Amino acid sequence: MKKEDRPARYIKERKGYFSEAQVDRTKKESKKMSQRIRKEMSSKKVRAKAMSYFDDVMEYGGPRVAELEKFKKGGGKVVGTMCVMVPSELTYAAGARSIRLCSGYYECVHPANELLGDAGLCPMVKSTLGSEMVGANPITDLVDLVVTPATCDGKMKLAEILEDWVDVHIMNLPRVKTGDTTSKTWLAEIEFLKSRLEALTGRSIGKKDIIEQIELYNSAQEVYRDLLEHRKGRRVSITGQDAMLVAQASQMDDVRRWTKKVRELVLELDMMEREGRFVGEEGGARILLAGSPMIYPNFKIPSIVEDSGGTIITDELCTGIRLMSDPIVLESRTMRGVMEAIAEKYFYPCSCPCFTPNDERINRIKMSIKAFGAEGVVFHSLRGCHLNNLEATKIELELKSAGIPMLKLESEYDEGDVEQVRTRVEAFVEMLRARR
Amino acid sequence: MELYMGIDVGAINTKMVLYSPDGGIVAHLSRGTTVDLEGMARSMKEDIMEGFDISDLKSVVSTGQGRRAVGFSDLSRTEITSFARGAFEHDSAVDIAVDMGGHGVRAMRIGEMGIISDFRTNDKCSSGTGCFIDATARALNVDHQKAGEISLLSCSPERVNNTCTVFAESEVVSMVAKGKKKEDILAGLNDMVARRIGALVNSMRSEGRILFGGGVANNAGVVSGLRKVIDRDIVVPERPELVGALGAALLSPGLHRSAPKENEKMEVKRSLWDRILGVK
Repeated sequence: MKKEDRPARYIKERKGYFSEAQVDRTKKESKKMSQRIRKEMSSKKVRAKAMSYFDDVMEYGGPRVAELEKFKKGGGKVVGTMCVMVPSELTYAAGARSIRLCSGYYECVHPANELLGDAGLCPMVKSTLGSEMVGANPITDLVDLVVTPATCDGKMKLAEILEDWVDVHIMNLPRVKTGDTTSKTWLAEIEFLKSRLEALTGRSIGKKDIIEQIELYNSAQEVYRDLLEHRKGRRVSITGQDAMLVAQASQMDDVRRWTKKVRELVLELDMMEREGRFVGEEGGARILLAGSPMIYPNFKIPSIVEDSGGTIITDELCTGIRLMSDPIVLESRTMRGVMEAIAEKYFYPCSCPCFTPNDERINRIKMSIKAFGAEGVVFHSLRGCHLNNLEATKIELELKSAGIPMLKLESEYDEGDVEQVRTRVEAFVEMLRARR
Repeated sequence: MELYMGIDVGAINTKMVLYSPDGGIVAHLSRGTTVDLEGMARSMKEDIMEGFDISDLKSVVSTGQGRRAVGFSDLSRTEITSFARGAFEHDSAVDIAVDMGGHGVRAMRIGEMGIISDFRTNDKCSSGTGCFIDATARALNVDHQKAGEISLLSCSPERVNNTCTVFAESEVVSMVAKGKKKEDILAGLNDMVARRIGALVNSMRSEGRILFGGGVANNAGVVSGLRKVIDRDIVVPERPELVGALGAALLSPGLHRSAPKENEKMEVKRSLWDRILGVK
């Protein structure tokens, strides 16, 4: 059913629900936040010049929005996703564009709080909802269809509420990774998504289209892996925040152009290292960032870590490295084989805490600790992110027995807790350095 | 005489310690923290240095929430690192050091050489800390410094359930209205604080000795409550509020052992990772 024919569930009388003043304030504050974070990130003493391209892509109302607006005027369709488990390859193969909808804007939380009360819900979910409700972010206005798997409770209900505003396709994600029906269900869901995307754009997705996209995305991953190599050295030439920004830009940008720009960035990083230009302090504590997603511009935790003598050398976030890992392996080039390969990639490597069993996650964290030489783990959980909160205990125990200290942090979408978090991060960095 | 200064700018009080390697703590000072942190710290420095030669002062290390506001300090360290260092100096056999201050409670596991291997702190809410005891003592019209002694007179402590400072105050008011005795209410409050500390310590899964410091450790009621909650060896220093400032003084760069070269450290680390992680 199209959204026009469907009665609203959460706001019956939408007109006038949010005052003009509130809509304006939300827009203005969001824009201000984007500008502030961009300024903070680009005013670092050492930073690759090629990064400014990615700043542009992620900017509030930036050039990417104008580009997509033009694309839509020509009849193009835009798909919004709220998860890493949605295969962009299919979206692009259908001739549509894909963007990430999860919101990192603090001001957008307030409209959602007014609708739902403080339901102890994760601020990222609330911000995404608020952004859609008041039309706070120009990028949300572009979306023709939202595609999201039913991962955590918050995301699932968010998808339901969003149906009051936009068409939503919820994928029935099996949350138990073992068992007979799991891979069958997920493959069927991927096939169903394909037909939904075909209906959206009116273009049938051919095998060749998909394979072309798979190759594009795989080569994008290859380039990003080159970038990651620059984070393994004793000193690094890119901050954790910048690496995360680059990864997140891949979900907003045209992937072909993104790949080209990352290649340029990698060349610049090579040069910086030859010239001895590094970010962070000498002897900074090498930190792996884990936990809840951190969506631009909510870079509060990484910015505190990197301002307090820590160097984020890797992460395990679905808003970081996980966006650009695990290429699709095509074993068979039949349509069925291609679809199976997509289903496989967008399910099994995912170490989201909504799954059980999720031992994959701790294994991946351990492998990253070793590959990148991490000395400690900062595990961040958004308030109300129950799944990450629960897994933190398990991960901490496992890491402790491996001799790797972990600091657990909880944060909200506001600046109120910055100083308390800073003290704890500083103490953690002091501890890691003292242990050497 | 070489002197090292530690200054601990806490949420309620600022503590200053002069340490000498020959004589230990040679002077200390404690004052209520004011808004003008810098000015307050300067006047405290002038006062504490009276009778000492300023040229003997080798370094100043600041700690506590206001550590960055102390302009004349050579180094600032978090209250967590400083307290652990001070606790280790007091008793090197301590496993967990607990610092209960005005707004914060922190528990640290002390490893080799006094280096922390793990720590926990309160998160966002400062209930059950020093300011909580202040507020509830005020509601009972009792001097907060006497809250501990008075509570020890209690024979049947009340049970206080609210952890929120504001709600606990109203709970106290309703107990007063019911005609409960002051000492029983205070004992209930102190027990609640002790339970919170106990939960924090237990979450660290320790079986070793515990050092309890920070301003709240002056409250005998909380200490005895803690001994009930944690049936173990609990050490309370003579001046528990000075542990952090002493630790800061001891973290002076001049007193440090020399660190190994960065390259060597990374080599050691790599093989350590191989060994402990057991992943290929």
